[in-house]
Amino acid sequence: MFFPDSFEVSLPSDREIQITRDFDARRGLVFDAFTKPELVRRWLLGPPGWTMPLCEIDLRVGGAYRYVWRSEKDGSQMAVGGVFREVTPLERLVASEKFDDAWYPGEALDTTVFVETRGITRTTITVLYESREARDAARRSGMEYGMAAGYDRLEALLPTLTGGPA
Amino acid sequence: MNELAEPFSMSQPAVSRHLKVLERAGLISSGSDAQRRPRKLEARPLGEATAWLETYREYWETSFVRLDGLLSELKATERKRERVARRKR
Repeated sequence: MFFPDSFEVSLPSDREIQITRDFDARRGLVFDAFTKPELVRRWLLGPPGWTMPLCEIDLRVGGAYRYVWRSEKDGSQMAVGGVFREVTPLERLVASEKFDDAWYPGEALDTTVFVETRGITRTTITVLYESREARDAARRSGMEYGMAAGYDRLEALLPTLTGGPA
Repeated sequence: MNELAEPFSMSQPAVSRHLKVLERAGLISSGSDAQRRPRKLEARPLGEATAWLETYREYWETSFVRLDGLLSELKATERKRERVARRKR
């Protein structure tokens, strides 16, 4: 059973972005899928056409992680890394987040929480930016990178969203 | 302002504060003629915000569907391992 309908992206405050999703698996498996490099590399691949040549995770407080993605089409790269501030196995991870190309000022702080109810694990990722400006800059750059999945579709859609006198 | 306030059960100063917030955020702009200050909805930033959220959503959605697949594979492996363990006992 899959729960794509449980997926939610929200902006709980001026400085945050929050993503929630239910998975049909016990917490241990979901936690592993988020913290074991050989598993992370199988799903956190970036936009279509991108691969994840590097995924390193030193899962302990003060330990670092680093993810690198590469576009197979034009060879461009995108990388992010940070340090774990809190590691509560199966339950909660807090880590700093900084992209190499530093589109936004300062670091962001990612909090990932896993809650299991009757074999279903709700995963909530909250990204806290240093300021509203930083969050919005990250949002804009997200647009530039296209997060590419729907970029072309997006371009086709934009005129209908922005066009015409209000 | 009166026209904008009319549909809401809100005091005029409250409506005015809301308008100021929207204007600071670049979501509306106000024109002016002699008697009135008509507000105009700035659709572009709103559209950009919506579009961004949509792209971000799609990015995660695609990844999570892959994760669903991985998790069911891991569950199957786990079940197989349990069966083997039980047989050995």
